[in-house]
Amino acid sequence: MRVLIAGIVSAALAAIPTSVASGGASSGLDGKVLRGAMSPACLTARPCQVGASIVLAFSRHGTTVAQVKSAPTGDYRIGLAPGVYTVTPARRARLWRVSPQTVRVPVGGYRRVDFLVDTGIR
Amino acid sequence: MRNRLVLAFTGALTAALFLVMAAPAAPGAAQGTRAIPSGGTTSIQPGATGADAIQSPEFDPGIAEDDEGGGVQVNRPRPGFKNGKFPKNPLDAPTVASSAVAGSNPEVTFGLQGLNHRDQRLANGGNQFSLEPPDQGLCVGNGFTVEVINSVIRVYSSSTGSTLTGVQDLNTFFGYPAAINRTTGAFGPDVIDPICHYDPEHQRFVVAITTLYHVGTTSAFNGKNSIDVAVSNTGDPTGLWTIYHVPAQNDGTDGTPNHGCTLDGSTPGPCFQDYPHIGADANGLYITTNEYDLFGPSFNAAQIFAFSNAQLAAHPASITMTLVENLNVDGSPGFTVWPATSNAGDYATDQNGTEYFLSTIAGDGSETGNPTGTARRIGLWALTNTASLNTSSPNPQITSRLINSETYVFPPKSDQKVGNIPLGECLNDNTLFDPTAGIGCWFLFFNVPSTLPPPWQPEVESKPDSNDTRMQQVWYANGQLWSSTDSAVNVGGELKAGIAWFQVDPKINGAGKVEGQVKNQGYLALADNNLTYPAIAIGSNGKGAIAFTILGETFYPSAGYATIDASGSVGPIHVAAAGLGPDDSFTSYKAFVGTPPRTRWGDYGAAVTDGNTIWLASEYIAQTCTLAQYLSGAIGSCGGTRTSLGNWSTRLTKLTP
Repeated sequence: MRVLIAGIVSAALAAIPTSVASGGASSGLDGKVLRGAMSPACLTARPCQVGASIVLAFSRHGTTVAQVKSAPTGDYRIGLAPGVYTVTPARRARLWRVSPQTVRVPVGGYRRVDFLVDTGIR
Repeated sequence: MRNRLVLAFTGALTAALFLVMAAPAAPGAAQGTRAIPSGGTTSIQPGATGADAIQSPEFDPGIAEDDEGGGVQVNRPRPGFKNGKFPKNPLDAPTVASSAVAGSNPEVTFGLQGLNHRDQRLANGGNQFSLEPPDQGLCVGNGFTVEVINSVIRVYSSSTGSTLTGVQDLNTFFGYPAAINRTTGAFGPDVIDPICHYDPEHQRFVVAITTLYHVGTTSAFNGKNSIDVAVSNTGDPTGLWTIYHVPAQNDGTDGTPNHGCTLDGSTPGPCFQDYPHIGADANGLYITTNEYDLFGPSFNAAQIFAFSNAQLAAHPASITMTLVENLNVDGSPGFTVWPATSNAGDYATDQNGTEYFLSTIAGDGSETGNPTGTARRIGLWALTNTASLNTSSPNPQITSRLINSETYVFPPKSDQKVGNIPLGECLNDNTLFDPTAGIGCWFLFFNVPSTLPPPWQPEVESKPDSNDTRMQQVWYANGQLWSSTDSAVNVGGELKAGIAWFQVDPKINGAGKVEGQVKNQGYLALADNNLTYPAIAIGSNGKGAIAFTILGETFYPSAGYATIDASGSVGPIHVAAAGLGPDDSFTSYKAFVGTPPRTRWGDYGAAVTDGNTIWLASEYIAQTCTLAQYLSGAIGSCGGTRTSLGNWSTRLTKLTP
């Protein structure tokens, strides 16, 4: 049963387009995804948080409508219809906390939103 | 006669227990014992203080952005989701009445400014990097107060608060090369997350840290890490200490077990031990950690490093360490399983000695498997048969369960009163060096970027971290456990960071399993403000205090406390030391840490007892200055109150509730 559920979930996620470019959409988000902390204390000797390749899922009314995979540098761009979205890591097994968790896509343009994914390391 | 009967019964029980303990450990509760040789002796011998300057290397130019992690598959089994353990949907933050603010602090004997960022950065002749947050360690006994933070240590008189030593860096204290040799450019290990405990039965101080080792003298981690334990050879922490380095990469090397950590989700790699915390019962000293991949994307589970108090006190050439591995509660990995500290002579003796622990099951979600960031259950844990730590065959047994509690919710970041942020203002300035070209104060730290004005502008006053919902310090007094965590609260019509506290009545049942329930609980909140990073301690007379940072619309980050007693009665909020300005340190700014910045604070406070006296330690801001003052004299020092990159401080408060 668990395998079956996992298969259904995988199939459902696979059906959601993962965007690496905005295509021709006239509105959406772009920016950077950082991951941190990278070590227990933040030293100026090394980055506290770094750009990371992470798949983010954008949901409206509890339904995931789009995904985007950031580049290894953390850069991303995704076309989305105007409105408010909930943002989570797409791979639920990871369950990292994303900040901010809700974003608003403006009408007729792209808005820069940078995300921080909390590793839990302190 | 009664004593003999009790002894006989205890003996029979012990024998029976050893038979029970011969059975295989439950899955996920493996343990192993190994010998840890002494790494030599040390003492607190402060070096010269470094000069105020913006020194190079302050930032390591050799480190590129990370390109691994996020998109990879994780092959480790993930947390189970037992029915009803986690909320199906996020719980609402509780609505809480605001506490009153007391007009005076009659309980306070004295307070003193503790170690600060300037102490940290300029220790060891300045051969240190700037570092945030402080991570508060504190222990008191035998007339001494030891404060240890990232990454320095100092001893005070506990009767007067006067300093008994200078400030020593922890790299040198633990026998390592400097964090950065500013003459040769050689990097030493990262020595971080300090903790401290005073053993009143043996009159010993224990300081422990996580150490991350580097590839040669470069800045890159080599994968090895250790939990380093220093124990004072006598009751005087200004004398000699003995060091033990406990390998902790748990990848099968250096005598460690292999916990299956990875480099990238699949390639084997080292683990590392994060967020160590310390507690003790009559028999043992316990350091718990959160184990993550050092280079990969995953959390594994909490671990317990258990030691014999008596053996540590004797500081032999080799000690025995028992690792209780991969803790789980009700199918979910243990996360920040904080061991209790007990008052002198007041220990749980069930099952041949018991140490209790508490945890939460929300955290930030990635560790426990709880996707909501909210919960109304906490983890209650017991390590029994701790007296076996004093034998040649240690065999402690871990048991855990979830118990119902009040709701706690991942807290929002903390706002702070508006004030001077000279570092932030410096990063926003485009006129200091060449107003025509737009090259301003930021040029003190950075070369001219490819675009002007610099991409990080504008920098703004930060919102410091309010932690997540991981359990904070746990205290055992008169058979009860006390602890607290950060939680979102609705107070005064706003969502703020507040404190959820718990009094738990634990016991060990006839089957040797831990049981218990929350006996008292409550919230602490202040309208228009946030209360963060609580730490609680209760004296043997049933009177105690909760330490925290206060910050918000009406407070700069300040050191606060509230008294609490055995009936669960919490007094008003006291301001032990009012903050003088906003936090203005490097993790607050995009220019240094990227976008969005995350202002590090905490990561934990401290509260300890010394008889019926309570000592508290919290992070706060003890200075303020304008940009003009920041730029006059030694740049960034504002008259010797801060450094160019940070202004955090700690506050120590001695009180008798």
